Amino acid sequence: MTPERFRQIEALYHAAREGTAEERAALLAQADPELRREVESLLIETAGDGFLDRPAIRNAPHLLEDSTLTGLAMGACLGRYRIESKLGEGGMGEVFRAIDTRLGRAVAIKTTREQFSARFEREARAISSLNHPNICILHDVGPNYLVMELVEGETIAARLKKGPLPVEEAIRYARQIAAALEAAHETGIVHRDLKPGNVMLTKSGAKVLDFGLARLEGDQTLTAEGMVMGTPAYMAPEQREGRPTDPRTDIYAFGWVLYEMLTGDQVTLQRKRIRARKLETIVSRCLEEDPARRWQSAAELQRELAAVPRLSRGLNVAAVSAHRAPKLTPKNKIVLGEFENKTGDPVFDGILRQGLSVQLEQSPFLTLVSDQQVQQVLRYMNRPPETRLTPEVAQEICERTGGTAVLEGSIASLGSQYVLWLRARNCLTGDILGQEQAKAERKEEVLDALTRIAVQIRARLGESLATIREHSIPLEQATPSLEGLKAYSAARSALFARGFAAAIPHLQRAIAIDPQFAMAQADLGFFY
Amino acid sequence: MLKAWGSGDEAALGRLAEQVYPELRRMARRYMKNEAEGNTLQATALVHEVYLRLVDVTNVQWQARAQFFAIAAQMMRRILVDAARTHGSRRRGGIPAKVNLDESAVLSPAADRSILAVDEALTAFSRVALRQAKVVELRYFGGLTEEEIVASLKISPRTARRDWHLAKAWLLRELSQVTGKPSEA
Repeated sequence: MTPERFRQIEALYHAAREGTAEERAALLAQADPELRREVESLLIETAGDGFLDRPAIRNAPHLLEDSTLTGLAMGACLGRYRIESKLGEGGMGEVFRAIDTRLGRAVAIKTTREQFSARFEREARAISSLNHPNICILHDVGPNYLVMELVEGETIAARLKKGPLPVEEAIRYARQIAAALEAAHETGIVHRDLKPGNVMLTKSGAKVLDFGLARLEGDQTLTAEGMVMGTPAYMAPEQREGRPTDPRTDIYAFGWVLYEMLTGDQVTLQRKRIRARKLETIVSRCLEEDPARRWQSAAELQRELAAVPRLSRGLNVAAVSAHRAPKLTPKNKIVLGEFENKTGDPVFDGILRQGLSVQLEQSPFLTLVSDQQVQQVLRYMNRPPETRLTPEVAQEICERTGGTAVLEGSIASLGSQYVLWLRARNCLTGDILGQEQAKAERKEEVLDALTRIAVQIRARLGESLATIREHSIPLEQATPSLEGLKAYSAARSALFARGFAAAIPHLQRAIAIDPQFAMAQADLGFFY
Repeated sequence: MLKAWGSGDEAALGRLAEQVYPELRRMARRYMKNEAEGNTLQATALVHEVYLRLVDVTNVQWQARAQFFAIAAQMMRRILVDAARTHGSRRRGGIPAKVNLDESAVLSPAADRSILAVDEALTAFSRVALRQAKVVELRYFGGLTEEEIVASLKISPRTARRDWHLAKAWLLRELSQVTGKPSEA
């Protein structure tokens, strides 16, 4: 922006702000559209947000003292709240029982280690307007803590450790959760992280916790495309893929919660069929991949739940296996498709696919279609060697090489964390054979997470745990260095695209980065 | 020393800054600790306190005092930004939390918007509007009053107020814009 432009904005802003409503409208109408938009966007912000009016140091009491949060001992005060005891600890902070000294009531306080943004505070205030018997009320928002209704009971997740819920009870809670969703959706708030761990079962019924906070959290860091917030296992496809979410996103997650309550089973891709037909219909329609095919509103869902016949409620709904996808048998061939990098960070380009192949090559149970074969088939297909292995291309390669399945994966950022996702698909029938997700708290743990999902997917594909244990050297033991793996990956692609000579400098680089990198050493020895 | 600075001695300013920075930092720590424990000490700016501590007020002209505050506000900004950075990096370098898919992603820690983001947005803003950005530095980071800002920047009270209004709206808008910054065309 040029200084003149700024001066124009400044002049119009002050004139408009200081004038009467009519003067303001007239002034804005005269301005060019660009200028007008700019000034209007500033005038909206004047609506007032106290955050900049407090000196910075007041916004940052914890910054210089790292022990602040763990040091929240009994009797300590956060604003007007006196800490009484610690209720628990989450990945993000701690939860305390506290007394609101002004109102004399007990509350729960969730602290985080980082400051909330002004926007978080603003939107959290909107959420605090949610007042429904089945929603845990958000009372107040501090600079780095949330004050919530103190809800006593256990979460559905905790309850499920003792097995499935009786059908009557599951349906009753499900209706209450649906009512909570309806109330929130009506005010435009979507939960985005509904799951058994976020629903408390209390004496007075189900209470949904942490409404809408997943998205707020997302807003603090959401910058790159493809970032997702929420808990991967319960995420609707649109949310997982970073597409816009709406109330139907919650309906999807609700489907899993209901399924888990009824069956006691954890979320899995090969879910069992629920015997009671009406309930099966309700659940399966919640879990439709396409939002347009799900129940369209929580209200609709409530009506369906109310209509579950009493008769079937009494039946044992213990789910029966259904749609179990055929597992692989030894010697089945697998094509490694693309491992899509949605993080925007080039360090992950290529290396995760390479890392995965290193992991899977260890399995005596699976045979990977080698990169060399892939290159050969690409030539038959009249495609250049560097063709991206999109699902379609990978499937064709799989068919042409007589393979059984295609593995495809992706990595996306989740705030400062990463989510890795891996799926195996039968390339003849299109059936999904297995799907796994893992989270890495930071970049250095991505390879570790990759090892974990590789192991999980091997189990999903039917490999016995014993052989996995025997043949699974964690990637970090191959090389702990992302850069080293990247050089190794470059060597592999250079090898198939341009021959041995082209691969050698990359291998040398990999070894220079990590002299202990045995695979790179071995390859280099082989080429020389 | 401050008097020497007041008369334009650059070296004196450097020596003063050397003294002020650690003192301000120490006080900031103490202040935040108290604040975090729920004992709000006082609303006055720390820069006032450090000023009282370091200089003999009675012998100094108002103008020098205002300049001192401007420097101290800048330092305060640096202290807070540094603290936010080390706070963030210490967390990242700490013992990794157990990964658990059931773990709530709610409240997942994120970048420190309040300090680092304001600092960043303010730096960008200062490229188009230096004076207005200075007003924010003095007021938000330095905790100075309008009167002190007026003296320090040699502007009229009305300009100080208008600058503050615009700067606040501007920064809030930038901070709420999660993606893309059309105004940085």
